[in-house]
Amino acid sequence: MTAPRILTLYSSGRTTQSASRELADRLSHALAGEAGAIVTRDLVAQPLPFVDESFVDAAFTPPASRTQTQVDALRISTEVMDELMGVDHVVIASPMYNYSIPAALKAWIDMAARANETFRYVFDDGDPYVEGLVKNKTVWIVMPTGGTALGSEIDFATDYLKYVLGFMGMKDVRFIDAAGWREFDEARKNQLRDDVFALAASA
Amino acid sequence: MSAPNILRINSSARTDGSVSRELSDLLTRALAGDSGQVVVRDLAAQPVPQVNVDWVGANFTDPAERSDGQRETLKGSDELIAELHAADHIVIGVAMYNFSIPSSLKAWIDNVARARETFKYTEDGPEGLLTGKTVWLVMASGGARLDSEADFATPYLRFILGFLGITDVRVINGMGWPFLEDADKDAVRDLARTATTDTLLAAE
Repeated sequence: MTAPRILTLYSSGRTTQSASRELADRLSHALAGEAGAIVTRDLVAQPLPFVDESFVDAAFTPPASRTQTQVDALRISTEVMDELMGVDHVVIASPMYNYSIPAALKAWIDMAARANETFRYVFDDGDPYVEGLVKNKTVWIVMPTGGTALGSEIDFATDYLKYVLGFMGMKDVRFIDAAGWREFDEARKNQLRDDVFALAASA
Repeated sequence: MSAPNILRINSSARTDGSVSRELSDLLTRALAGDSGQVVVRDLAAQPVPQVNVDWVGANFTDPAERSDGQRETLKGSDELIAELHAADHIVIGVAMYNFSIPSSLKAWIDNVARARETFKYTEDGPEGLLTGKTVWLVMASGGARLDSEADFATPYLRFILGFLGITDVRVINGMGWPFLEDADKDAVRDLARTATTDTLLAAE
């Protein structure tokens, strides 16, 4: 196997004592091994813009008809997509904020999901369907919470992430469950730190 | 009933051709009547900043011990929360982006959901502090239907608003708008246009 390429996304508002950052870094380095390459994007330190009118206008204009201004309006989104397309593994550090994902991560999704780039509508003989175009990637989502159990009925983060990443073609989505991290004692934290290495080794 | 205070929140990036804005216009006018007060918070024109390390630090510091810098950091959030407390009716225009709410609206939620301010922890668990209010969700999407398995916006909004104490949540359903017949679009517009502060809407 060639050297794996990894994209690590941080979306925690905390920079120190951030469980999601710590675990995502461990996982990313374990996945990379000695030869792999890691690209990081800090969605909080360098926030992506929210979708605005110029973005919508440009995205709904066919590529061949776009003006230079429209191309510029999509530039950040295009960078985000290129970065995503170029890797084998995506490691997303996502704490749970108010029972869902941070706005910073939703902003990344809104920049990454573009018709004819990361998904496309297929109109052939049968019913129209959507084909995700982001293929052959493993997504690892490191999710600490303040106590909310992943998969519980007040978890509005994990099902959504599986759905929207799957929509773009990323069907292999794995969660590192760090629910209730701050209540963990040191032994339990260390166990999860070890587990992360074992998971990466199995990748 | 005295003149209602209405907070109108826009989250669609579009100004031209925005379904949620069109329906929110009709609804807000109807609810305000002649004497209602309307405050507009446009999250697309003036994005609310995402919570960052300074914000988290300030929020988790006891209010009495906050530095001037920390109080300054929370000023924007304080304003958004004051707007909510002052409102009787809150109209939220929601454009569905990628099956969920716009990031601009999630940034607003992350700014207004604050312990001691909009909810508090009690022995029986968290308790919302925004009581006695009605929220009108004006939902618009390019395809996904209300409360379908592809709708990760409406169920979440009902939940998180309920968490903050707002349990009276009504929906103007403009989901799947491009696929609606003209008569159905007009029916949705009529619902918005004729709403009163007493109007109760079924979710579908």
